[in-house]
Amino acid sequence: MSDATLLVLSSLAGGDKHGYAIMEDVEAFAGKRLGPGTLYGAIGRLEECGWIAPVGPRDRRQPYRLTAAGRDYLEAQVSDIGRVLKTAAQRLNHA
Amino acid sequence: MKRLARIVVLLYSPPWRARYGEELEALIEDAGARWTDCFDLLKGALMSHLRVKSWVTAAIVCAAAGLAVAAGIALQAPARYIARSELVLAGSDPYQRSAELRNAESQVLSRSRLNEMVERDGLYPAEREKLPLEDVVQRMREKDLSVVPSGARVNVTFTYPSAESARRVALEVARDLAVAARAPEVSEAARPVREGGRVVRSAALGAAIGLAAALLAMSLWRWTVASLWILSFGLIFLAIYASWPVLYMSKSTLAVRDARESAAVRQALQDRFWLNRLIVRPNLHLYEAERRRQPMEKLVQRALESTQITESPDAPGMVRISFKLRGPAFASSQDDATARLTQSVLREMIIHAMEDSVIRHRKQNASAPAPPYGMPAGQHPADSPPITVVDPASLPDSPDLDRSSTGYFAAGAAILAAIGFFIRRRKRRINGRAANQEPDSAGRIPMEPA
Repeated sequence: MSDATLLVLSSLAGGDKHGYAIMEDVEAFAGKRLGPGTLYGAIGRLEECGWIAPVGPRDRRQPYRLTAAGRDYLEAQVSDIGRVLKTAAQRLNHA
Repeated sequence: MKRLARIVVLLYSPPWRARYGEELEALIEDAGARWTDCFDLLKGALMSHLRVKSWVTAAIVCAAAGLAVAAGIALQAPARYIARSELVLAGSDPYQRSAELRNAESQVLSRSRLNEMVERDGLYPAEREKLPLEDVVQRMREKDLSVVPSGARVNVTFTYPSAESARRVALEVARDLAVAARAPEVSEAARPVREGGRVVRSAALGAAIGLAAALLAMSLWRWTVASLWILSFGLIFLAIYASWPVLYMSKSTLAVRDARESAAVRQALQDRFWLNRLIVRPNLHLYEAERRRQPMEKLVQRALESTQITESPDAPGMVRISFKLRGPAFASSQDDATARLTQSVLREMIIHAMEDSVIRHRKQNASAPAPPYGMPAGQHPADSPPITVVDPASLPDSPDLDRSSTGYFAAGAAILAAIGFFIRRRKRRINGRAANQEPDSAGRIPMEPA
């Protein structure tokens, strides 16, 4: 999974959001602006994997929610990244 | 910019657009669109069509698709057959043989003879519908029919879509040449062979194009800014390369009587004193601008280096001479003045070689013994012309790019692209450090150990 998909999953972990809200949220917490093509590319891939799902009836400003599978996946990713960061920080402190 | 972004959305694949098109348009309305967003959307549109998850797979798929399409097109094109016939010239003197073959070629491969052959055998029906007969015959002589001497043997090759027609024409031309050159032997190859290598070459080219397309898409996907750097520098250098001064080359072929004559032509054209006079000739304007800046010895050396005199061991007696001149920089099309100057210089060279030969022979004949009594005119060696012009100096029509500059362009483009890439990497590294030192209050993930 790429950087963009993790950012979208992280954003949806905070609550249901539509495309523009995800874009704003990601910019706020990661300082990174996702382009519209990248954002909807990630949404398409995540929906295909079943990690996010649309909420309510179809709309132009369609909100998405994190599914249970998506939450598990995100938790696994956060745990992996956390382990890597912890190791890196420990090694940096000892260097 | 929003309008452009909406147009780019139309490039997405129809199923993708049916599912996410409206949402994407709503996002563009809400968030606005920058020029980088249009590029980002273009990248997304490309991916929506590719629908593959691995770039290695994408590269392989693109290469395989290119290979299949190119091979398919090449296989669809009608097959061509190569027929060969051979004749063996009589006589042991290679210069004599070469002269006889030249005479025979001028008779057998004359425009009228080939016109007659094309019409009688119904060759090139499709081409004759579109082009005048003269052009069809010209193409036949230049591309499909070749007469190549190799020692005493002469290979006649004809390539044509019909194996039977190819065999018939190759054999007929070989027989006619044999009659005209008084050659005792003519042999025909067993059967015409299919022209090979075309499908393989096309398939390889298609695969390379497919792979290049995949790599370009990959670079656009992975490194947006870096790929823009590379693309912009590539385009700039392509533009400069296209407008770089080009070389104009005029060519000519002389037929010489013997090896001594060939050496004399070379000596005459490499005479530095004569080249000096040629450069300063007022009506020629050769190296006019350079004459103000450079000493004459350098210009003479340049003229010597620009003149090429070659004699093929397979065709003794045929001396090929070429002269090249560099055209003006940033010429968008062919520069007629340079082309004509190149031709005029080569013409002057040929005249000089012929004059030199005539003067030398007059001197020799004055001291030579008189021909034996009763020898018919034209039989004595001194009667045959020492040099004849087979192909006069050509007017350069398609200027060649100066290939020596290609390497500099490629190296320049690579260096600038690399500088751009490293600047970007360094900028990212500095930005990363700044983020670590001053984590913002908006909830950025801290880089502290957990």
